[in-house]
Amino acid sequence: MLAVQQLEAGYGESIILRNVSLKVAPGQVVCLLGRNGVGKTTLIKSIMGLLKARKGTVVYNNSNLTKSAPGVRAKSGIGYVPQGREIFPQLTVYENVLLGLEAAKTKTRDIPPEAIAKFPVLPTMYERRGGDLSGGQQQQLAFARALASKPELLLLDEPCEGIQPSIVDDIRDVIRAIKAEGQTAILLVEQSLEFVKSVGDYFYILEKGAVAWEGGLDDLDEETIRMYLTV
Amino acid sequence: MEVILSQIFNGLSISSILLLIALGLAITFGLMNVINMAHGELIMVGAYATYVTQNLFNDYLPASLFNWYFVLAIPVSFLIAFLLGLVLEASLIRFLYGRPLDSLLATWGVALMLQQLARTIFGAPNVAVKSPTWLDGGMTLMTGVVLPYKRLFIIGLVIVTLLAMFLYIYRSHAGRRMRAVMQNREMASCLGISTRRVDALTFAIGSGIAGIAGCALTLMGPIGPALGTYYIVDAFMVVVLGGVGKLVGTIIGATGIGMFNTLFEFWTSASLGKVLVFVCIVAFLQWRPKGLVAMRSRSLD
Repeated sequence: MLAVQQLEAGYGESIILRNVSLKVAPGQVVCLLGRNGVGKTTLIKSIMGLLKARKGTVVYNNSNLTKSAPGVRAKSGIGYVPQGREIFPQLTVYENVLLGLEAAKTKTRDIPPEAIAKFPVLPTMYERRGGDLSGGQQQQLAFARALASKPELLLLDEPCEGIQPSIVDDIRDVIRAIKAEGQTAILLVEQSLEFVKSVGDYFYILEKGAVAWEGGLDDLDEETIRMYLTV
Repeated sequence: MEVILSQIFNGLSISSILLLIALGLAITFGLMNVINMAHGELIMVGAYATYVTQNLFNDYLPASLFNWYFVLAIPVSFLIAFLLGLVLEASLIRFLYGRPLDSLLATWGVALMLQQLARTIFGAPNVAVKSPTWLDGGMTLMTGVVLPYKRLFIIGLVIVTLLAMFLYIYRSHAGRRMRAVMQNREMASCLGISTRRVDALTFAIGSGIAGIAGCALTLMGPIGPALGTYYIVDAFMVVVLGGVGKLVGTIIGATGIGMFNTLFEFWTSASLGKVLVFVCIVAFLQWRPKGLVAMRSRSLD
């Protein structure tokens, strides 16, 4: 469903990603691993359209999105939970979730119950401002906002960064639930190996802006981990 | 007693005019951070739109309908300034987001061009807009205290405009999109919002409200091509004093300046009063640079 081919992208003069190719199948949980600074977030941003690709293509559901604006990509069914959550600070929690509906394919004005059911704490805080929430609560809000449009592909950029363990467990459960429903594929960037092993179907390891290794859960052995992931 | 009452009313009246001219700027400068020096000229455009509406009524409609031209002039002024705002945004402003100095110079250039355009079309001398007769006279509160209908009308117009803006920004879907884009442009675009359209619409609405202000100013006296230059400084003062980005701040800022202006003018003279007001504003901004109502949130740290 998502196919990235020979992608080259970067900031200004510097090139971060070189010749990256990657595929996500419907309902699959694909994990993107690698040490700090290898270009994981850059890749996610290029897929979302926040960074322009210099070369290569981003194809989603048989339509070429390489030149499309982020809004077009969102409307074609890609949900995004960015690093740092990016909640709208001055808007209420409810308004933040409602904004997730902007990309929905149906012209609905109601938040789908299944998007919010996974985060029972959110409805109790609907009237508070997004900026006043704690980091973990903001992360849950960012998830609910992305799920409101019922995306077929969810891009998750370090969803567990700087969050207390109990909420990390909650988020793991949410990802598993999404996977079990089978409606949404996930491309997950995460540092914690234990976390990705518990949810992932397929793995890509980036190094110096290129895919250095890819394979299934069983292929991800100690040797590979030592080579590409241990510091 | 009469003196106090009439001074309070004067203060309120000046506040309402200040607020009306600053409201559009509260959107273009306050929300969008565009230093729009052409704001005064958008006011001027609104004023001339009223003038043209008046002339059309004079020329083509029976005299009995003339008094109602002003009711039509308000939406017409809004629309003309709104459209001009759209054109301005599409052709110039959108290339200058995030470049305050450039946008200051460029919009100043636009201001000069619009002034010259007005001179070319309508001539350099001021023109008079005849107020409808139902706004002549005033309400007598007690002996010596008369509240002119024109000023009462402007106060009412400000309240209606404010209410409409509040409903639009805080209660409508389009307003929510607008606030989202102004707070976090990238994320808003990632949620499927067309930031281009929101920018254009927001700037146009700010311009349109400047047009309404221009329409109201025709009640206060003759209008000319340089009308905007008298008000641009006041408009920026109100927005900066109130706190950039907050509608409530703009309201408090306008009321504060209007009231103190009246007070100082009453104690001293018109020009000295104005000087004193500006001294107070400068001193206040030294103490609280972010203005009266500053946005405070852990999210901004």
